Amino acid sequence: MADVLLFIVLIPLLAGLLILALPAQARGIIRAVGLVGALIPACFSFAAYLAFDKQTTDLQFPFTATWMSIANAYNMLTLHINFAFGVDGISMPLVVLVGVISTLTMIRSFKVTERVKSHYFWMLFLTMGLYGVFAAADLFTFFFFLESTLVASYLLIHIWGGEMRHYAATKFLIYRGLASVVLLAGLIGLAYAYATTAQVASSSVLIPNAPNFLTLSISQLLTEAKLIHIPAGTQNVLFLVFLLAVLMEEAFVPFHTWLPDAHEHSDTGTNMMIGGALMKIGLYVLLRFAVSLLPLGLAHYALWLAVFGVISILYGAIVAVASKDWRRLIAFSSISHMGLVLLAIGSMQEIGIQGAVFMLVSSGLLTALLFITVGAQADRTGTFKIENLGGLSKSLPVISGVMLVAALGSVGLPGLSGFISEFSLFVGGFAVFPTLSALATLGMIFAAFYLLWAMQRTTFGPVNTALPVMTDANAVEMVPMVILVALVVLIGVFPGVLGDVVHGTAQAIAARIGG
Amino acid sequence: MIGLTWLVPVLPLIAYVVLLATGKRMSEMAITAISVLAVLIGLIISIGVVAAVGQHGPYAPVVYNWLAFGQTTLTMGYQVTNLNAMMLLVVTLVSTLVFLFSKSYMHGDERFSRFYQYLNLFVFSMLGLVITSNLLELYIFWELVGVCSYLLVGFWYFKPEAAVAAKKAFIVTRIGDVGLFIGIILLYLGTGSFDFTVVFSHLHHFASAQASLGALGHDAITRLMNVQTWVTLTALLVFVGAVGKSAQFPLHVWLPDAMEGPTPVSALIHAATMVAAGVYLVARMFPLFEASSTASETVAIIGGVTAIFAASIGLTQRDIKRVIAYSTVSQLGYMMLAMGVGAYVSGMFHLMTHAFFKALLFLAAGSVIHALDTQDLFEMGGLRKYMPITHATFLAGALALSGIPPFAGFWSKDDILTATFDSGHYVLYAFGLIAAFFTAVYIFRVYFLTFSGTYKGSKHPHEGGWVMTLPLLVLGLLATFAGFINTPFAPILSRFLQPNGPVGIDPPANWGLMAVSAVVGLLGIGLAYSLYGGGKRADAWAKRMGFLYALSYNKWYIDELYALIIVLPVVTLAEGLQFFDRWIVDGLVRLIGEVGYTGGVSLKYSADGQIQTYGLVTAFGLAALALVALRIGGVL
Repeated sequence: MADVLLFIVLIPLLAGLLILALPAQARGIIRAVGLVGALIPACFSFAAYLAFDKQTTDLQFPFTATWMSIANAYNMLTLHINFAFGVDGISMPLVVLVGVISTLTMIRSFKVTERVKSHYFWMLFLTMGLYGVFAAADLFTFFFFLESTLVASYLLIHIWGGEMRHYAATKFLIYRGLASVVLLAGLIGLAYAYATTAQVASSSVLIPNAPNFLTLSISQLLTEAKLIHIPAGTQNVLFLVFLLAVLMEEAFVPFHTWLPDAHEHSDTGTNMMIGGALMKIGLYVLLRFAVSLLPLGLAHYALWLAVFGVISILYGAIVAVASKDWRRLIAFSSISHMGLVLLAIGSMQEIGIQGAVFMLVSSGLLTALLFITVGAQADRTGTFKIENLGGLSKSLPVISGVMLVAALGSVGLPGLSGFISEFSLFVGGFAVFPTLSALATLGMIFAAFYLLWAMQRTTFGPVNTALPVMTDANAVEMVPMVILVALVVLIGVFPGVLGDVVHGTAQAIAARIGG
Repeated sequence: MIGLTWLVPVLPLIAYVVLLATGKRMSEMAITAISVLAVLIGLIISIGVVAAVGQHGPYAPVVYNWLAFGQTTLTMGYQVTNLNAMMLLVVTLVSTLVFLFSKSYMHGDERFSRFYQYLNLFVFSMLGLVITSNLLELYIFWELVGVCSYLLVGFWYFKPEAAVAAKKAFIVTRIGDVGLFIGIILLYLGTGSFDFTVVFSHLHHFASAQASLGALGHDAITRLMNVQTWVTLTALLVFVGAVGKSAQFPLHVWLPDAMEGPTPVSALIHAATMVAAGVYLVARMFPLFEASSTASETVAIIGGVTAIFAASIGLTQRDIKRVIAYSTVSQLGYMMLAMGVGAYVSGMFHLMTHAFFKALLFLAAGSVIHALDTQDLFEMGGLRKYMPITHATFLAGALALSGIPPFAGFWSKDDILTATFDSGHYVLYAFGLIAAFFTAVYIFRVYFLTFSGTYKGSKHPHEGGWVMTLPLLVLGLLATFAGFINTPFAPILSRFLQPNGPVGIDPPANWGLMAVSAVVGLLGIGLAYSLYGGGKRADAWAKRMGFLYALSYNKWYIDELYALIIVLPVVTLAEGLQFFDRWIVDGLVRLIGEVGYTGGVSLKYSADGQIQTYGLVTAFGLAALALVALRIGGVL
């Protein structure tokens, strides 16, 4: 069990390499290997979730392997560059989310017929990268895997996307690449700022694992953050750097225009991976580094987070009303939902942080569910344009029904995972920013408006005679839909299955930021 | 029996799951049997529960932990109070009858099983709402009944009107729900709990200045407002939720359109139960409203205005279901009026009698629609001969609605009017009295157009079999006699609902006012008879009324007004922002890209596709950034 995270990260890569060794014509075997390569780590992540110790807030299942050491890197200190893994209550659920989304995407991707071999290779590569990002316990490890997700998703959009895939992929690459560069600056600055402060403080404070103050280890940085404070001025500057990176990475307004384009021009499987897992990285970065390690910076910019959050909530929701294409609608809807997370993080409340993890998981599941159903109907009708659809309930009752579940989940219907997420975030928001939060509730009304209006034009109404004769969902679509619906209902009805794991860590972070 | 209370909502849930699992494989008979049995057992348990609380008073909540939530823990559970027990009984009783009626009404529908699934899910949610022990759980069920309503209004999804109406119902009530949502959060932030008992005890302490706001240590609320403002604000926000659900002015517009759903749905959800949830919410949160006179006055005014406003629209509608729908809006207004003036018992009494006689009117209308396949009043007539049971029961319902003694509506409506008068709300009393006059006119207009005169259609009308007539007969008896549960001679309900001393006001009977309202009802019937029964002078009158007639027939142009001042601006804003997003925000991004491209043209030969070159450039770039970072980190 100790090295479980290592296996989780490595297996998709090994499966990918195995696929490279197979002949391209062996599609069946390639698909099987792809599925198994995603399913095994998913099972491992699920096992780890069950074995997760809810009493401790340390990083669990730790694994460290030193890649290289640079002696005398700074002030006589040695810098160890490690591959290190470990998860706590906020990353554990996201690791399982990657497991769920990647496995289901592999199943859905059975429908891909173009360049199957490389499709599965890059899907597995992306899966590895996503696992690595959320399981990383080291700044270098984190960044390494972040960059591998960038390469893989760029290629997935670029090769398998729709009409304007090259444009969308390039935009995606430039934006996220830029975000990565800014983020790298922040990460390095963070390590050195802690090293400097720790060294100065070492005479008065006993720091475990000393005297090596220059560390990239997240768990050591978290420990140090409990004992020492880097100067407020430095924290503010670093926080701003992180905030800039997160705004681009998570597609917050006004840095958002790459996301609707990416979603509109990607294939369904890629959209499931991007919307379901990749788009959780930005806010995870905010929680993991900026919030946990720069509490004074957070306090300084809390109002900014709230304001940026509310802008994204309203802007995303209003543009979604006018969206003509289902995929753009989902993209703007997700921008709007993530804005709420930003608002709640700005509130610095424990419940807001818990709600943030809930929303990341919930929106991951619901976005993937929306993409798979919308994609399933488009495979049959040949269009994502809302105005060209109508009356699908008649010919596609199952797909339409699941689509309605996904839409209602996004609207925040109780009994589904979206509600408790939204509710927790709003409780956090109202505790500190009542006026801004009241403004943000308009997003709830808009969400009902754009989603139900789109549903009315898609599945309700008389049968659109221009559409071909269609058959309802097949097994490759059924399995992912059923599993996603089951998880959304499970979290909605028994939020404790997620909350129990998140609670301790959220409490610890809140204690650190004084919420 | 108290120990079995949880079964009452759970049984329909089980029925839902069973029907969901078996789908179309089950016969209509089996589907109906399972569903009716589930609610019938619930009804029997509810009777036991009512007997138990009648004897012992309210029981303590039974709760289970649900989720660790900051410093608190969220719980789920149920609580049997006298109010809850009464609601349990009303909901299970009406549900049982409607479930039975639906068998015949929905016979042969392709999605018969789906219909009963949704109905069962609805009844589960409604019963959950009724017996919940905390506000968050109430909100959860509140939303679930809303979504069931959405699904059932849009049940005939292929009808464009039904699709639009379902969406409209969801969105308009959603506006109210957001108010309730904020209200609940503010109550939590002020008191540190969602539990009714805890919230009420805090209110009690606030009133005697023994406690301050912000039980969880949040000061943002305290900085914004003092305790009294907080009480008023939360009460008003909770009321906004009630306004949406109970279709009060100005959020009433969804309910008449919701008549696109199958008629049993209209009877159960949009007359007897869900729409009354708003009134129930105000009753459940009565201590909050008592603590703020501003909030209670608002409730009373909205209720009174809605009562007369909706009744005035009901006078001219052509569609039989829409007349009854506006009647429901109007009657819910009476209940709100009662709550607002503090007449807690009268409001709940009217909720109960209304549930019976309005479900009856809808089911009778359903029986007529089932027989004729039309909802247009001017295509009916003379049905007294063909459908004697429907006729007799509809008449009982109409008399009850018009407030003619000794029918059920008389006692409850009169209680409300007396309390309004006694508490000094003379204008609202006048509104109520005029609304009562309108009520008698519009419902007897329906009666005369449907049942008297000669039949104008071509289809041969007939009764729908015992599954339809039995519920009509039971409800007919209830509409006739249910009022005797709370007469001035034997105020049984009044005693039942106030086990721990008086709640709100409960003024003594005023025989003068009683006579006035009975006479007003009779005058209304008389006018309806002269216009539509014997006289046939309706067209002439309509012409003479001119503008007023148009105003009523077009529902005061409220829908048009909302389309103009809300929907149009929102859609225009969305289109505008979408344009702004595409051409300004993204345009700027692309402009920067273009500039970069033009600059890059001169360097394009350096972009030779060699990964090594890219790597080198990247490495330099990273090194530069690392230097900046080191500078920030205070290293260099």
